[in-house]
Amino acid sequence: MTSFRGLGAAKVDDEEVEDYMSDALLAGISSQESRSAPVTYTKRRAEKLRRQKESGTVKPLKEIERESRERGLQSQLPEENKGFQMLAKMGYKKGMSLGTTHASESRVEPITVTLKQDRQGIGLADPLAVKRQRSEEQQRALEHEQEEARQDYRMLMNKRFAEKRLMADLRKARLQCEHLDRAKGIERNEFWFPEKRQTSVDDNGNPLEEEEEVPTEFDLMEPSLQLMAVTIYLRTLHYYCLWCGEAYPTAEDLDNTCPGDTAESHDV
Amino acid sequence: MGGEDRPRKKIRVDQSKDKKATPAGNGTDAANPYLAHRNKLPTLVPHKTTSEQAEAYEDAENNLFTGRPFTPKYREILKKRRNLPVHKQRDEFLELVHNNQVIILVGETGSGKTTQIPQFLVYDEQPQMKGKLIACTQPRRVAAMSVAKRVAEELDVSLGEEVGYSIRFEDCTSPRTVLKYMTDGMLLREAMHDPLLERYSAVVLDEAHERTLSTDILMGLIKEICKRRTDLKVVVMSATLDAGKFQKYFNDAPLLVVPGRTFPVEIYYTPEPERDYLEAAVRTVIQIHTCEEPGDILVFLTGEEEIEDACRKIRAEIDSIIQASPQTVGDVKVVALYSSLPPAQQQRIFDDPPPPRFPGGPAGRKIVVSTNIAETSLTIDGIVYVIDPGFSKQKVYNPRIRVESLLVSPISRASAQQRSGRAGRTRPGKCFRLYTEKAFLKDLQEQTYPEILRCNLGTVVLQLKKLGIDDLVHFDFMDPPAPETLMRALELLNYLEALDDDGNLTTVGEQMADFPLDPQFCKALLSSPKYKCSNEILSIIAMLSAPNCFIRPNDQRRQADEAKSQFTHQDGDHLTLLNVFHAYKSKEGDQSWCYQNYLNQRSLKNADNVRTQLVRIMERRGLELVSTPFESKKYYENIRMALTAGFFMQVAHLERTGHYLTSKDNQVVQLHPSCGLDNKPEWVIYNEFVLTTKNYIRTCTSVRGEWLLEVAPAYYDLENFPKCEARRVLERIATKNSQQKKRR
Repeated sequence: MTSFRGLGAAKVDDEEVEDYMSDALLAGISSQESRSAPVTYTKRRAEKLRRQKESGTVKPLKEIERESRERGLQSQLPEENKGFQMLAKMGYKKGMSLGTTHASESRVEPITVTLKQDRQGIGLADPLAVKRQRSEEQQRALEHEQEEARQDYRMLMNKRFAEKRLMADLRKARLQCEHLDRAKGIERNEFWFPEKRQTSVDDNGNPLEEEEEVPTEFDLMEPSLQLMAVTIYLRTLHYYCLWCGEAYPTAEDLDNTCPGDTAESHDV
Repeated sequence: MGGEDRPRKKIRVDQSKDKKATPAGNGTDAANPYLAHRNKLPTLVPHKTTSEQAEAYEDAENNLFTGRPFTPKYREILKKRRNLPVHKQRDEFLELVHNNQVIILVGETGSGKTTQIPQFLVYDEQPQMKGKLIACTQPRRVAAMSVAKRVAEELDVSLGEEVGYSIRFEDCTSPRTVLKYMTDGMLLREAMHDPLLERYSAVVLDEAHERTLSTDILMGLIKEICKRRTDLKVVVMSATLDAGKFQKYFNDAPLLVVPGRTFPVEIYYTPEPERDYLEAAVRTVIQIHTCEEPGDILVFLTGEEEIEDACRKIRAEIDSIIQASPQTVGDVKVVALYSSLPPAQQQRIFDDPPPPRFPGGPAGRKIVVSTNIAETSLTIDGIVYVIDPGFSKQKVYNPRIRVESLLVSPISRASAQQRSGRAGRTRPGKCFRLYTEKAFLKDLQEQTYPEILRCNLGTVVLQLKKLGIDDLVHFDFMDPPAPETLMRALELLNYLEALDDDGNLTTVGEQMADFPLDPQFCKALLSSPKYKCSNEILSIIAMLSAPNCFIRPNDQRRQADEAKSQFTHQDGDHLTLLNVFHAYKSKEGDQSWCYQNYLNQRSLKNADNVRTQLVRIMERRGLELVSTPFESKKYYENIRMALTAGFFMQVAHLERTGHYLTSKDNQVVQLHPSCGLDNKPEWVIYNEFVLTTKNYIRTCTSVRGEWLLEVAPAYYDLENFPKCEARRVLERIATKNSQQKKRR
């Protein structure tokens, strides 16, 4: 067929091209020849084999046999099978086992077929399988380890970042607290930073020492709790949200406009 | 339910006994010329005898069954019989039999159960008075024959008269037979014509622990028959102690345990798993021979090749040791044992061990290297050491790819126990297991899979159908097979036209069930008159039913192959077998001719015998025995077509990639090295698909794609054929065929 078509095409070319001496014609003919040469099965197969060999994917017959066998052994008889249909007419349903209900064993699958080709004793597993299994296990362990390390790192960094953010927020909150308090005429609040330098400069030094010696309840709290306490104070007294960065005129405004009393709620 | 049934059953039994026993008794009184001595003896009332009464008859002047005086040899054997362990429990046995329909008897090898229990039953049942007999089944033909021979001697009758045997293709019984040893397969066959086994007053199923396919089916049948024939007595005998399963299956039947005559066996495990069990076995043999007390060794290995290899290695090793220290190491006799060995060579396992090389020197030792036939079927006395690597060749069938093969597999714990028991037959022994105790407990399964799970059920389904069992799904299997195995059997029988789409037996199926052959063979045989070659198909099937006739000794392979090539037919191995058979017949079975041509005369003789039996069935069935003239071009073609009619489901197609694919299952297979086809035909039919180191198809003959379409249009329905190269080729043939038809 191919060669026929090739010939026909060549004929058409012959009729169209008049200048028999032109290079174009020669070039055309040579390309026609190569196209019209019948690609036989043998050639195609040889080519395919060559390519497979190059890429290292040629399988020995034994391997092909094994694969077809394994595939066959894995595939259940389909419902279209004549025998399936005949058994179904006797009351069999897919997934059922045969025999009376009190049969000692109910068997659904045929006995597995294993080919033993060596002289290894009982209890000694196939070394190749062991090797394969071991390497698989090792691979899995390695991946697990790496994943864990990654997780650890991520968590560590998250923690660090969160701490940093917390401390920054806390600082901002305390400063803001003092600022707003003072605007309202509040003179003193344990939420403020103990203004060391200022007191030492402004005061005679005694109260500062006292303050330093007796840490307040607030000072002993965890930074996260400190932040929570200051936030609540700011919100209730000043209708101020640290993360919105503004003081609302009323408590209602705060409740309606501000997404929440944590940093996370403002992240979204 | 059982409780209500029982009393009724008993009453019925009594009635039937009264009716039958009395007239029969009268008849013997009048006609029996041996009345004189019988008068002195107690009257035997069936189902009411005692051991004392039976023994009185055994000790009498004349034989109860023949009327002839007992020979001195009989009395000698009787003395030995009385010493058998089972004899002590004769009364106990009789009592159980009298009160129960089914009893389970467990007796280890050497208890005498196989020979004695059926005799106990004969005296108790007096089956001859009712015109019935007693059957005792055996899984193996050889056992059925040899036990029958032995029991005939014990009863002082001639074999084939009062005591006979019946195996496939050989019936050695007479109308006088009261006790018949038979293969389980034969009893199953008989059930097809006698569904309630009415010929028998009692059935003994021996070696039930082996769980052969036929015994399993028989147990299912007998369970049914017992409901309808309350007079039938059944004894199920097993050699292993897992009797619970049998008891449960037979509605909690009572158990009688007969101790065997065994001695304790010490068991040794290896501390580490073995890298090479063959090497380890050889090493252990050497160790035993150099370090242990005198006593013979039994080594279990898997197959012929391995066994011969081991024998060679053992001989070589021990020879070198003897040369090094002749004063301390005794001689050995190394004997191989496997089933394909000729009987004369098999007998060598009973030879005595070699004597000490000089007076007072180290004792000689016999070393038997055997397959698992020495595990149960053959008993070798004198074995004190057993070496068990833990493997045996076991048949496996997989319905998905339809492969049936003998594969080396780990044995079961029950098997391991049986093997170790072999060391304690004559005195306390030792068993060396070439695996760790942990592996024994963890890696071995409890019981060997019964055969019904490991083989193709084509023949069995045909038999069950013939027996009138319609519901195969709920048949009371002791171990139900995988559903897919049954599907394959039904599928095969349907495409062979033995069963219709509803699973009912067709006329073809009825005819097929008559032949003791695989359904494919039956179909080829039934089709053969149409192709004018029934004579030839008969010969081929007979050859395939007999053991392989080609001998190929390791050291003469080339000569053997050359001899075989004289018979090789280029179109296929089936035709080669036909050539061999024809040549054998033309030489009139000459032994030296067989020998010169590397042919096994025994198996050829067997094939000839099988053929004679098959011819009889053909004649009975009114099937024509015809041949195409040998000069005709069609001679071989007709034969190949008739074979195709039976084997169209076992076809392989040569792919363009150069390997064969089995039809529909698309398994990559190769022609077996023994195959005589040298030109790789496009289509072949094969007799077997086996797994060894490769996927092999064995006994192949070339056929044509056209024949497949012609012979089995239902199977080669291209609409429902898996997409593959074979389908495309067949489609092309089909189009060509239809074009040709149109043209005509």
